[in-house]
Amino acid sequence: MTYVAGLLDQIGLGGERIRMVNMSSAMAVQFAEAVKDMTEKIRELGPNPLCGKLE
Amino acid sequence: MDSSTFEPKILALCCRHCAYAAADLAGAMRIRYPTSIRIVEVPCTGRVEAVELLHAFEEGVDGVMVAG
Amino acid sequence: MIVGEQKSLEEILGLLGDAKKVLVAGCGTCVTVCFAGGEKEVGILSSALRMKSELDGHPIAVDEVTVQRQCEWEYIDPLKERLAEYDVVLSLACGIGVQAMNERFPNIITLPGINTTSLSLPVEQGVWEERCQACGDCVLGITFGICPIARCSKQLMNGPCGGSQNGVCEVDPSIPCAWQLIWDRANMFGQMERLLEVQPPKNWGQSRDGGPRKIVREDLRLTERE
Ligand code: SF4
Ligand code: SF4
Repeated sequence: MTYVAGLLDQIGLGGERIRMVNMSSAMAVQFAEAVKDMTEKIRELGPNPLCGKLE
Repeated sequence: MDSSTFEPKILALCCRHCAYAAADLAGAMRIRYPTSIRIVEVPCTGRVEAVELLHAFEEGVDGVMVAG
Repeated sequence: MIVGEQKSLEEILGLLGDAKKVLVAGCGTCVTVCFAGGEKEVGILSSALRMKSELDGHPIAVDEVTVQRQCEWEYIDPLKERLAEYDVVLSLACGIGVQAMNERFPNIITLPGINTTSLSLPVEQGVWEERCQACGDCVLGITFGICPIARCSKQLMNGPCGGSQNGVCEVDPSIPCAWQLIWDRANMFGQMERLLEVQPPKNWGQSRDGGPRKIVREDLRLTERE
């Protein structure tokens, strides 16, 4: 994970676009939280600059 | 695109036994979470290869969440 | 095994210059097992190159291929047909593989994507330590199996030097003193007196100092040459 995040930084996409989260099967609330959190973060970062550029 | 209207596309790679089950439960419990997420079930997050994460970005996703 | 390390994305893009179509060529042997230039690394680097070049505004089309061994003609010959469509080949094989490609396919430049660093031992997952410098005249038989050429910072033949302290080399505390290791092992076998014999200067003529080396085995050759 750290490796890919580093690569994304080098590429210029930003390592924050990738995240690892841990949870158990009973952690439905945490799952929803993690999704919300990630969505906020990505919204902050804006769209993938590659979007629509590569076929 | 301004940030208020931007709906991110996030790929979630979920372990069958942990996060995927948690997502299932979230559904059963009617917990609301953003529609930005696209869930892909994997047998184990250890199965996920670095190159697959990169390919996701090449295909244009805005973020990747590996959950296990 | 031959061990290498991938060059930075920046350096690789610099080498590629204004190439528009690139073939990234991996090797399935040494550099695969040291995670520097096998099929996986080819995939990762190619993807990274496509994305970075796109973001930089000079998109490069990158294709991928990995051959079993880039340092043997048999394995690289099948690439011949494909090469015409590329501006340049970026090889993730060791320096031998890169040169094999350039020799076999003189009409296209093959660039190195990794730095070939050493002949190393993977002492644990993710750690490679140099063990041999291919000196051409192996002395492991008189040094109790520990190489003073590759592992002693000064390549001493009669050691240790005065900088050996508590088993550590003076050059860097992370380097175990090779000669301490040699003496310890001699002690273990009760043969320390064997190390008291002063070794004459090593014949470096069989190493790089004698110029590029070459082995010819007439018994193995298929073509006669005078
Ligand atoms: S003595 Fe020479 S051949 Fe033997 S291990 Fe050391 S460098 Fe390699
Ligand atoms: S301290 Fe040991 S390893 Fe370092 S240079 Fe001296 S003899 Fe060689």
